[in-house]
Amino acid sequence: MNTDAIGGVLGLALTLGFWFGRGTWSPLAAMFPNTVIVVLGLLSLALLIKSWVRPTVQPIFADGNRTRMALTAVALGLWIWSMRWAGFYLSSLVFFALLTVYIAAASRRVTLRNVGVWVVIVAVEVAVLQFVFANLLAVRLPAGPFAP
Amino acid sequence: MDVLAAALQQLFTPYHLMLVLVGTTVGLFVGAMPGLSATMALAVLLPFTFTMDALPGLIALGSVYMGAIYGGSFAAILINAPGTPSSVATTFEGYPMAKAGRAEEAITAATIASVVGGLFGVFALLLLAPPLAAFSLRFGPPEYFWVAVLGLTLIGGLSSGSLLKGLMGGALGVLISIIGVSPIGGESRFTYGFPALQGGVELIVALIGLFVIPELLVMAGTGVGALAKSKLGTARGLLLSTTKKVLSMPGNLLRSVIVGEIVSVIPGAGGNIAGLIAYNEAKRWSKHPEEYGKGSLEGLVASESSNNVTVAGSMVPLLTLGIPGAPPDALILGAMLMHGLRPGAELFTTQGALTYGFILSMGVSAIVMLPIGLFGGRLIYQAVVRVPPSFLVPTVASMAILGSFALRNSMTDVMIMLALGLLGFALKEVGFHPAPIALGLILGPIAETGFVQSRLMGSSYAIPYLKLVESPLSQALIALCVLAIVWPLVSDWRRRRAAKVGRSA
Repeated sequence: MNTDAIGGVLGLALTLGFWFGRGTWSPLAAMFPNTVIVVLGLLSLALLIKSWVRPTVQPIFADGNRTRMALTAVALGLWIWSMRWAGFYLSSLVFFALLTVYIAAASRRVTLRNVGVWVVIVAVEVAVLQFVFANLLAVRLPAGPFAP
Repeated sequence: MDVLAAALQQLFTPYHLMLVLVGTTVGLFVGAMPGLSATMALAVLLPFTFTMDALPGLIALGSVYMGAIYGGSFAAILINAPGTPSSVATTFEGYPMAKAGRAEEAITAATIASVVGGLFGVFALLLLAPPLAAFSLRFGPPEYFWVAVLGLTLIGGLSSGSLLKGLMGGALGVLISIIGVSPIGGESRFTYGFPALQGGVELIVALIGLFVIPELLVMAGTGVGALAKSKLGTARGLLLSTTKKVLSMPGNLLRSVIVGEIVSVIPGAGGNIAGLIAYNEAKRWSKHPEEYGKGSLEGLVASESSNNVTVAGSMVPLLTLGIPGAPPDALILGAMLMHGLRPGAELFTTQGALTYGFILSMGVSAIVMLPIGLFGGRLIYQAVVRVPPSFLVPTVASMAILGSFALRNSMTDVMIMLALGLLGFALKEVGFHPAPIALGLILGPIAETGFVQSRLMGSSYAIPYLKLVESPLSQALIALCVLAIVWPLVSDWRRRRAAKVGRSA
């Protein structure tokens, strides 16, 4: 893949995203961000030109199984999203265990007994994390349905 | 000398030494957790110090601070997550070393470098506090702007491959740092209608996302732990051999601690900038710059020695002028004021034994880091190596989530962390290293504030921007910026010419 071309397009997309994200700011508040947006846009154009003249060609997302990487990213998103209403403990228990089983299954045969043992380990580990952060470090973690 | 003797006598009691030991250990483990910064550790500890006498309270705070800055290197080396912002540059060499099966060597080197840095900072504070404080007062908005620009010239050294992509990454980092309320005028920028974005993007949240999430996804994709090449139980003689290696680079160590000292006395700069500048200078002066990014011990030593100087270094403006250079210093200032201690020259005379006792306790803390760090580092390393990737990925993910959340008790921060992580992953795949983005994030606010304030200061001038180049210190910094840009080009040209001559001969 021509990574310079992809990088240039990504850069231009980000430039446009920031350009249209501007508001009616005072000159002092607008001066610096406007300058940096223009710089990013110019650099993106320069990278696009380079992609035609002297492109860098290399494979992308080649370090491992792409489906597993994508599903892990989705699982992380769902983990964070569910934490708002399910609380830290419940959402972490579910997604921690799911990720453990999913990643382990890529390299070995997973039995029902394995899953049972892992769920117990995960339950203890998440409980320890919850205790350290909530009780020792006084962080108010999302409580979910177990809120007092 | 009498004051120093009295300070030593006060410090070397079992109670005070125990406080140093416990404080350093607690700081180390808190710093090792991504997202739990030195500020947070000190904030949790602060209320407990109110019931203590002044000296033990300050000893506890100083030791936790010292331990936390060093502890950040563990997460940086083992999971590519800067435990504290000060260890950003440590990830550049520490993590590649760990991936190549040299994690224990990296931890040992980081420990020795941190001890050297910590001790240098204490000596500089003892001997040079008044002149350094006077130097720090010469920095106004124009000088801050040029310091930030000087920092941004590091992009050339950090972009590993494409300078164009490095510059784009730097610009993107600066734009991300602008999100939220503007420092001058208080206007909301780039919030896209989401009030939650008004708080801006926390530096450590962005760093966790940019550095940790891409590694997690690769680990999940390959099903192999990042430290798969590491073998336990191969560390015999490692301490001695690594100590020899670290101490055999005195030039690198000296340059890095001096950089750390200079940066740390400038209020608002701090360990992250010191580490990055020291790293870049180490690379610039290295005989083997091609090894950087692949696990160079020099780069790791530069980063770790300079960031630990900043702990005692930032006490220079705090103790002499009452200016807290970094958030943890503000908490220490709070503790001092609670105990009726007012910063200034008098502190060193009327409360000499107490003040020097506090300073010396940081030196003891730096020494104590050696056994605690080597033992604790080995424990954490063994845990990371033994845990299979199927457990390591969700464990690190939960630490990233908790670390991002804990800063402001905000789920928005966690979502920002993931969004930046996925963006960072996509960008990394097409050749954008996260380091320039991190640099932009760190220096963006300093550059903008310095630039806009200088523009306001120059309002009465025919050309307001002349304020930026008026002072001799600004001019010296501009000269350094030019040198920083031109020097690599000249040395690159000379290298190519030498190679050409060699081929033709």
